[in-house]
Amino acid sequence: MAASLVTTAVLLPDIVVRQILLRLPPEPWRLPRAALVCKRWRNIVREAHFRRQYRARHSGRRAPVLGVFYNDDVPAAPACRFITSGCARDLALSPAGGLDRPRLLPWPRCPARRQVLPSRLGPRLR
Amino acid sequence: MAAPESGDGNNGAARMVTLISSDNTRFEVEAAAASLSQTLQLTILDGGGGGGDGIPLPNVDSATLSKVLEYCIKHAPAAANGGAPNATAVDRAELERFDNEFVNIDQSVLYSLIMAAHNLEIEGLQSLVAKKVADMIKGKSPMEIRRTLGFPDPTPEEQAEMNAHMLEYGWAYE
Repeated sequence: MAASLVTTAVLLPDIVVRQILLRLPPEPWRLPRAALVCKRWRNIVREAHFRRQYRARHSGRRAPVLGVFYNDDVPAAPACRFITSGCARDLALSPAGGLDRPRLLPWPRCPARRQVLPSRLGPRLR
Repeated sequence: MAAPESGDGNNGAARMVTLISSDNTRFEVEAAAASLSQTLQLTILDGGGGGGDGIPLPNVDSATLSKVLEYCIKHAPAAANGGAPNATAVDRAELERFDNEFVNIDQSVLYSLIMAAHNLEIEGLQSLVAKKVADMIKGKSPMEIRRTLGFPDPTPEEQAEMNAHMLEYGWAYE
């Protein structure tokens, strides 16, 4: 009898938690939120295997294009621009996390917006 | 004994098996329904569970098992048809309605069901209950998820860790 006395989700085994998290809809903010719930969930969300499964499961839906990089090759001031696509639900790359670690941050709602980034952040286009 | 194993019970009475819950309640169900459980399927194919024997399920109590069997009995005919081919839209809508109502239950029952579906490896039920929990937490903040799912309040250590991650993922809080 004791075996079925699972009264909170805390006691669910990893394999079951994976099944639950795999079924979260594939918007970019879902997994980070789930990752904050507790350490165990965080470790699951971090698993490469889990993320492959999650991607495979939702592959029918295309990953949102957050925006595109392009180079402004003005010799005097080379810069790479990042243009948000507007379909990114207000998320955009921002250099706020330090120039080596651009991060997704909320962006004011607008159809498209430009952000000049140091050229080493973006791919060099020829 | 000479009966061909291939007969799916369409001629005459369907084959029945007995399952015994952890609290010693006996449940007699059609083999086809019990066979939705991958765990039980082999035993049943081997001829187990018939007669006076019964298959003991030490991990599942009677309340949970009766709920599990309710699901299996409802889904067995569709599963026997290989899922879809002859299923009409009406049948499928009916199953969907059943599923929705089926998981409209107390959380403690839901968790017992999740564990039973996991232990008995009933794929459709595993999927159904996992989806239910995913639906319960989607759109919620991490703290709301913790509360919804009955996590205890975070320890200071956990709280500190959440705060640290907030710095990185703060946007997810809106």
